[in-house]
Amino acid sequence: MVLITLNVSPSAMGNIEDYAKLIRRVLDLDISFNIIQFSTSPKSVNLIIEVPKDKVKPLITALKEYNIIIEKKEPININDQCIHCGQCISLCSTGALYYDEEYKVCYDPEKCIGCLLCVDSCPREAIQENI
Amino acid sequence: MKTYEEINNKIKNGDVIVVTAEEMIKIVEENGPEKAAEEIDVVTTGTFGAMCSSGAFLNFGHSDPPIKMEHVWLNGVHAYHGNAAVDCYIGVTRMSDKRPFKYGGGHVIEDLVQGKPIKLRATSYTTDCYPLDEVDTTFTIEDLNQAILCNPRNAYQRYVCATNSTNRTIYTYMGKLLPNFGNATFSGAGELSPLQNDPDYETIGIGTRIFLGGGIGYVIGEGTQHNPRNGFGTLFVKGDLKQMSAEYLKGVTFKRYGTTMYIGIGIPIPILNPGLAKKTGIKDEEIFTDIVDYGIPRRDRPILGKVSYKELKSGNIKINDKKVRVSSLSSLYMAKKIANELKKWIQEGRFFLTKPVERLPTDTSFKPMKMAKEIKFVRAVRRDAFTCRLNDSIRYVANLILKESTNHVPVVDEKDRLIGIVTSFDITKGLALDKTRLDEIITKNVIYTTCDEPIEIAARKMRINKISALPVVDKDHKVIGIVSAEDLI
Repeated sequence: MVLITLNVSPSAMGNIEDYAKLIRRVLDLDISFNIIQFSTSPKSVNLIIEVPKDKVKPLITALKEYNIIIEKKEPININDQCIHCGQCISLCSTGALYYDEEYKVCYDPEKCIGCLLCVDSCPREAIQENI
Repeated sequence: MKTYEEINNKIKNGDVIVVTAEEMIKIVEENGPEKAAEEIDVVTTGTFGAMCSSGAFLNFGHSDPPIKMEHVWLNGVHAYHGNAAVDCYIGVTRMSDKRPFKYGGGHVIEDLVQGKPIKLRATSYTTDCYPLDEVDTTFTIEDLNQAILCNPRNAYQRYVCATNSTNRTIYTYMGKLLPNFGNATFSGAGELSPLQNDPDYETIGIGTRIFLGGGIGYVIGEGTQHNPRNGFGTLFVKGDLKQMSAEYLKGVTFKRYGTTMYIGIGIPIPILNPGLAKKTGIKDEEIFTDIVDYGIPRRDRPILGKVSYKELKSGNIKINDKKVRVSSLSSLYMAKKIANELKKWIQEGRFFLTKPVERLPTDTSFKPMKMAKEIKFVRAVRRDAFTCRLNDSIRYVANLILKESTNHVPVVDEKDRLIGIVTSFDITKGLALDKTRLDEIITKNVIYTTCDEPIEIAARKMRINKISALPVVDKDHKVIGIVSAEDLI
């Protein structure tokens, strides 16, 4: 799964017809996604959604037509506090966390399903959720 | 046959031949130990792992008026004070009073080595010679007279592989262990491990100069719990913190276990004879350790099998025919880096070898604690349980609770196996919420105990889960009784 932050400006939803068109366009893609966060402000509507990896591209294409600001995020990121112990690796069922040939801990966001089992295992708090 | 003097002369002249323990494997394989011993002068080893038995002696110098410190805190972490007026020992597993599980002695030492200011607070009962009752100040490592890393037990020769048979995730000093053998962890660098490359302690002994935390250190004796008979040797080491680097000393927190420190240690093995060449040619597939069930919190945890470091480093092992993901707790990347760094130091003539003044014991073992009381098991306090079935009515269970004056009724299947528990509170709740079926009110994820569990462990299960009774099950998961909090008092 990939996390996507959407920033919908008032111009994209200036009137209800535009908004309806946008919704129809997304519904036509037949994508199931999780809404992780929804917030509104006078300037925009902000959403964080979790989308299956293979559906990211069509969704982004559709949203771009409506001038929606899109930021893709991986479920986690690993900061420079990592000491390459590898405690997280045995907890990762998809192989998204792995050792390279030098035994450095690496992260492949393409394989990450966002289960977050690794996050609290890190003795250096180097694994951060991206939400 | 070579001597320490010959090797040190070669280091001085810049023509010493040094390889890492990993590189040595191929050399011994291809040329044999005799030729390898002629060619190679020194083999470097390395390890970088959590070493809880670590800490540092610090001396602050005297305040004016002078204080005889009674209690000392460094960045809010209580340090041990039982020596002279202004000495203390900061241990890596001691946690901050205000930020436990976030910051501890290991973090203090890392911050100190990084040159960060550290808050010192000390209190005293005062004496005629030391009248000051309190000190609040900050210092950096430069302000200290001595800062000596002094670790009673480091560099385990090998360690066990940990897994978890229970149905709950557990958080241990071996890391996070998922239920039902969901993963496994191990520690130690295998073929790069210092003591593994000199298993008879021919060259590693009191006075051996080593790489410690990025600086120079010394082996000052056998480590505590040194257990050479079982291949679990350990080292007592010391070194000057002022020369060390925070890259090789990292304060860490293991969730729900506490704080500790990762420490980098590298030891050079002089290849004095073909025997040492052969020993330093040791491979991961020749180093075995036990797979241990950390789900059973006893001194002698069940051993589930044997495994080599080669299998451990492959990422997968077999436990009861199940494929289980395994990864290291200690950093193999850093272990290699340390072995290479030490190799460079020797090649560049910055590090000379020392001959130990005394050898480490090779025939001692590790004794258990002498206990004053005998262990009391759940077996002794177990009572018969009154059970129910999932298709029983809430009314039936309510009557059972009344009749038997119990508060907990385990729910069992047709073979008496535990599948849930219902309490008098659940019945009340069911009534209030107009529930009709038992499965709407029972707890399905039941915490249970067994006959051979010590009562302290059963009591802790109740305490941390805020429950007041545990069904007792046998090995087939059949309910054979119940214990309640009152039974354990």
